[in-house]
Amino acid sequence: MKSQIQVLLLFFLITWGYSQPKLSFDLGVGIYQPTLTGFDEDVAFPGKDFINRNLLGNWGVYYEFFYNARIGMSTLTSIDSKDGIGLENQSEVDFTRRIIYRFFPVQTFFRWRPRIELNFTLMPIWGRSVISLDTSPPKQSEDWGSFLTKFTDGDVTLKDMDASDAMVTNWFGYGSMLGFRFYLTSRMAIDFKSGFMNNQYDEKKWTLRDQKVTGPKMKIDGLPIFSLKLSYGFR
Amino acid sequence: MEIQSNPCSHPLIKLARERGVKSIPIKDILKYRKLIKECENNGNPAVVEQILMMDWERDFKRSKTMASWTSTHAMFVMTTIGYYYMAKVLDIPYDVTFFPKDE
Repeated sequence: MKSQIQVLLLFFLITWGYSQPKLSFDLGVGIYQPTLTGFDEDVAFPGKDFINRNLLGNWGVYYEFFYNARIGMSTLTSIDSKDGIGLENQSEVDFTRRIIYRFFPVQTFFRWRPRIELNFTLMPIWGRSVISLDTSPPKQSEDWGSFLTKFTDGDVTLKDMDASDAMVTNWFGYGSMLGFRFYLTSRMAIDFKSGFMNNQYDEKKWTLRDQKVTGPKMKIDGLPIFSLKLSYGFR
Repeated sequence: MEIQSNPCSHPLIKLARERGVKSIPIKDILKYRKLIKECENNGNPAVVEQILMMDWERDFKRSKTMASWTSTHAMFVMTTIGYYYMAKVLDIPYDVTFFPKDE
C-alpha cells in the first residue's frame, strides 16, 4: 500500500510539469453570523465584534474535472485570541480559539455571458474547533480545570497537562451555495457566493488529551453564509 | 548576421491562439507575457487582440450550456437554497430528519 501511494505521488509530480492541470486557486473572505453563547456569557473572553465572530478567512483549490464541473477543497477559518484572561483560581492564561470549516465542494457552472459565470455548489463540511491555552507551570491542570468550569457545572478532573495544550472537537455538516463570478481576465475572476451551511455541532464532544470534556455552546447550524474571493486559474 | 525573429510567430503565441491562453504551461507564463509585449511593440496589436477575443469566445462556447448531469446538480442546489431561505423567511423548521427521536 505504501509503495502504491509513492507511485501515485510520483505520477502527480511528473505530470505536473508536462500536462496542464485544470486548477484554480481562491483567496478571499466569508461572512456569517454564529451565536457563540459559551463565549458571550463570560466577560473573561474577548468581547464579540465583527472580526472575531463574523469574519472568516478563506482559501480554496478547485479542479475542473468535467466541462461544467469542479471539485475541490475550501477552508474558512474564524480566529479569536486574548492574552491574560482571568480564571476563577486567580490565574491568567493566554487564550486562542479557532473554528475551521473545511468544505469539499462539488461545483457546477455555466457561462451566462463571456465574462459572467453562474455556479452552483453542494458541499459536505468537516468542521473543527480548537481552543488552546498557554498556562504557567506547575498549575496547568488547575488552570485547565478552572477554564472548563466556564462551560460546565461541577468540577473537572484532568490528567497532567503541558504548558501549551488544546481541546479539540470535530463535527460534520453540509451546505449549499449559489455563486456569481465575473472574469477580469481569462485566468482571474472575482467570485461572490451566497448560501447556507448546517453543522452538527455538539458541545459535549470536545476532547482534551483523549479525555471527553464539555466545551462552549455554539449555535452554528442553519447559518446563512456569504463569501467574496479572488480566483486565479492555472488552467 | 543577425536573424530577427518575429515574436508573433513564436510557438507559445501560436499555442495561445489555437488552444487558448490557459493552455500556456505555468513555467512559460512570464515568457509568454514578454512575447506578447514584444509582439504588440512590433506593430502587431491586432494579433494580441485576436488571441484575447478568441480566448473569451472559446471559454464561453465551451461552458455556455450545462452538459449531462450538471444541470440536475444545479437544480438541486437551487432547490435546497430556495427551501432554506423560504423556511427562514416563513420561520418554519427546515431540517430534514430521517430518523426522528422518540420523545
